[in-house]
This record gives sequence, C-alpha cells and structure tokens, in this order.
Amino acid sequence: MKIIVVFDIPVGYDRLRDRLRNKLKDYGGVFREYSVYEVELDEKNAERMIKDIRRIVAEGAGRVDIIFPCRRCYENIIIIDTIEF
Amino acid sequence: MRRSYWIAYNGFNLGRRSRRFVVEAGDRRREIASLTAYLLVLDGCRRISTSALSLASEDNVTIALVFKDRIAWFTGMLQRKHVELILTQYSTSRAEEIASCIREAFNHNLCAFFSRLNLPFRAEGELEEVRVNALKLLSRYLGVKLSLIESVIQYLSYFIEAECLDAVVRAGLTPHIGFVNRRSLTRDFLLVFEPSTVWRCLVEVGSDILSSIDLGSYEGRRLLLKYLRNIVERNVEDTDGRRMPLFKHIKAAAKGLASYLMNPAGGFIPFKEAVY
Repeated sequence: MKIIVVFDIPVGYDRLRDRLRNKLKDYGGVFREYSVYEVELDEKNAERMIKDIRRIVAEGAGRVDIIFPCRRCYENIIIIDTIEF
Repeated sequence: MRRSYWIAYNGFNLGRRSRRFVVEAGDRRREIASLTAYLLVLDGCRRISTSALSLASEDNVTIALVFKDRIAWFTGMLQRKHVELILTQYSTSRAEEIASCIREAFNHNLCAFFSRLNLPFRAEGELEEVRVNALKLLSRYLGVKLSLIESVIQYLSYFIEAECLDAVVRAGLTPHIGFVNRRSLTRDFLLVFEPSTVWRCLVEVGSDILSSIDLGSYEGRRLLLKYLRNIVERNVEDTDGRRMPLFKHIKAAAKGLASYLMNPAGGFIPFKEAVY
C-alpha cells in the first residue's frame, strides 16, 4: 500500500529530523517535497515503520502525519510540476 | 512490494548506508532500500563492500553478478529452508517426468511465440535441434545475423536466469540439481521462460536497433534491458488462465515444482503461455 508521510520537526531538533529522513529512506521512502515522503509497504512493514517513527519523534518534538490514501484517492492526485532539476 | 533491480553500468561500486544499498559510479549515486528489493543483478560492478553483502544476507536479498560468460551469485537463504525438499529434489524417482514436462513447456512456449508472429513452426526432434531451428527461423524473420542474435540472447538470458535463481532459492530448492540440465535447475527454468521473455524482447527491439546495437557498450546493454524489463513486468496469461506479470509466473513455477516434489499428487505443470 502507498503511504504518504508528512512531518514537521522544529528548528533545534535537526539531528532528529535527519534520523527520521534516514529511517523513511530505509523503508524505501521516496522524496516528494521537503518533509514529504512517499512509501510503498505491506501491512507488516508499515506497522514497523510507524513504531520506528513514534520512537524517533518521542525523543524530541515534532509532528508526523501518516496518510493512507486508498487506490482511488491516490490515482486522483493531481501533480503540477514546473520545476526542472 | 519488493522488486528486482538490474544495474548495468561501467565500474560501479556497491556499498551500504544504514539499511540501504548504495550504488556509486563516479559522481552518480543511487540508494536502494533493502526492504524494497529481493534481487540485485549487477553488470559492471567493480567492488562490493562486505557490509553490503551483510545487508543482503540480513534482508534476504539475492545478489547476482553478470560476467562475460556466466553469472555468479550470493544468497543467504539456502540454509534457512528444510533439507527434506533438497533431498527429494536429489533422489526423486520422477526426474524423467519433470524433465519431459519442462521440454514440453519449452516446445509449447516456442510454438506460442512463433504463432504470434504468424510463422509456422513445428518443434520436432531433440531439444537442442529444436532450439537451433527456432533460432535460425528467428534470424531469418528479423533479418539479423544468427551470431548477433545468439550473443544478445546469451546476455539477456543472464538476467532471466538470475530471476529464476532467486525464485528457485526462495522456493527452498537448490539450483545445483536440475532435470533437463543435470547440473542447473535455473537453466531448466530459463528454458521454459526464454521464448516468452528474451526471444520476445528481440522481436520488440526490432531489426533496426538490433543490427546497430553495440553489446560492448553499457548504453546498448541498458537499452536492451529496458525492453526486457518492460516484458517481464507485463501481464501474461498462462494456459490455466492465470494472468500476472512474467516475473510472478517464474516464482509460481518454482513454488509449483517445490510443492510437486513434496506432494506428487498435485502434478507439475510448468508455465505455458496461452495461445490465442
């Protein structure tokens, strides 16, 4: 299933933010925007990821939104991208 | 969902960072989370770090290395399955029956392949003879030299062989005991899937690109692999009506053989592509 993780870690907790980013990448997270990652996982690994995120955030301060869009909602996402890297 | 990664690049290194594989070549860098991979097929790899091998072992990722004339592989899974299955694979009394099923599936898939091209082909004679005749027919159809076709098939086959190898090991079988090719079960599976994957790839690539392709360059290899990847991920229906991507058919065939060896009542039917 596709999972979208949005986080906001305040200034002063930079190392915590890096750890969270690294953890999301370990789960195959793809960078979408700053503080927005998209992950595709099965249920078991999704639960593991949520546990890990809880553990990391509990060590400092911040807010993480974990969104589980259904397939229909996911397909209906409109992307407008005019940035060329 | 886990997937396989095929990497063809000149002189890259494979390392590890946290729970990710890091592929580095010059200033280019790519990370692959080990949770998202079940197989890495590496062509042109210069160095693999021990920590990358350790990660592969921890997360059950098979690593296959493509060389000029063979593939070498690394897997940490063999010892994790029970030995009963391997003993049955070694001493089965149904070896000849399984071999004939595989030969039949190869002939069927070959005929299905040529019937899609509207070319009449009859699979008669010994296996090698059938294969050579089919290759000659394909060479005439594409208008490309037989030697070129053979070398492209050999190169692309390594990637399908690696997929077969992973499927065989995951099913708990050993790749060293075959039925048609006595020393390699992966070659047996490759035989079944070759017409639907590698041969079809040649047709889709087309004679124009084939005649101008340089197999010595990694650009040329990557172009061929793109076509092959597209075919392997495409949904294909077998004669039982199961419609799924070809790489899943490979896994299903290995599981089917494993369950047949443990319980022969079920019967073994290797992948046979549906003909319309």
